[in-house]
Amino acid sequence: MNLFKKIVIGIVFYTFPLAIVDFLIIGLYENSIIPHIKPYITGLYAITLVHAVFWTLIVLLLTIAMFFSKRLRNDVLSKLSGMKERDEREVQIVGKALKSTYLSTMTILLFLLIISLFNIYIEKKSVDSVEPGQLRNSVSIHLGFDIIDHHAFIREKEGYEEYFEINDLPISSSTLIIILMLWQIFSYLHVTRRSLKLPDLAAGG
Amino acid sequence: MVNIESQLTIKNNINVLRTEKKLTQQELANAVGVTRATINAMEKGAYNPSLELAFRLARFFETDIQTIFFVED
Repeated sequence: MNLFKKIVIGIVFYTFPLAIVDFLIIGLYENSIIPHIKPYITGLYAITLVHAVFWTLIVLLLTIAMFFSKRLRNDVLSKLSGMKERDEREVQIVGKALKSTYLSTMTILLFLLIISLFNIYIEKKSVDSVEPGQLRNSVSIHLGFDIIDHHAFIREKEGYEEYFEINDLPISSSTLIIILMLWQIFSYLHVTRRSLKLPDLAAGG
Repeated sequence: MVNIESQLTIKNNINVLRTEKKLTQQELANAVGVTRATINAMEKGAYNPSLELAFRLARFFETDIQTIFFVED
């Protein structure tokens, strides 16, 4: 690993706890959670804001670079997960650990997918709106799937003629879970099939 | 699902050969290109090495594989 990569990975991982503190201070200051301390932490807020922006930019650049460099991806994720592959025994141990992690992650994703498909409604109608013979209180469970998260889009705002805002990911949690599950399966099959493929002996390969 | 647990009990003489050569686990590990923990695991019978590592050990101890590894009945 070259020096530049070491420095970037070091900044991202060793200052991660500091970044969490940064975000807590920023949240505390911007939302005026404890109003009387706000004047005292203005200086601290400015410093944490600079660090948080710097840290976020480095993480963003590192994430983009990881899409294109397999070696960087391996280095970063090995560092993140504490994975060691110094010899054949450790490679075997990592394989076993990854199998266990893969299966448990798939189980969690499947469970979350099922949960995300349910909508639960608990209703108590006002006395005026209840028609004779109708129940006032009701609990109902619906099954529903939506590709897009409609709450992520804001199309109107007071004082604006035209306004459009996207908050968070525009896809629904169910879609995100399905994408992650499909990616896991696709990636696993791709790697195993490529590794299981024997060289063509007849062709002298 | 296939049970890949070994049906054979493979033992080894690594500890004996290493002691004869008056080597530490770390020195042997460095010589054959593995970690000290792997040498320790092999000596305790908790890990069976690959064929390649077995050959590397045999070459290092200047003997054949059967002298180092054997199947216990």
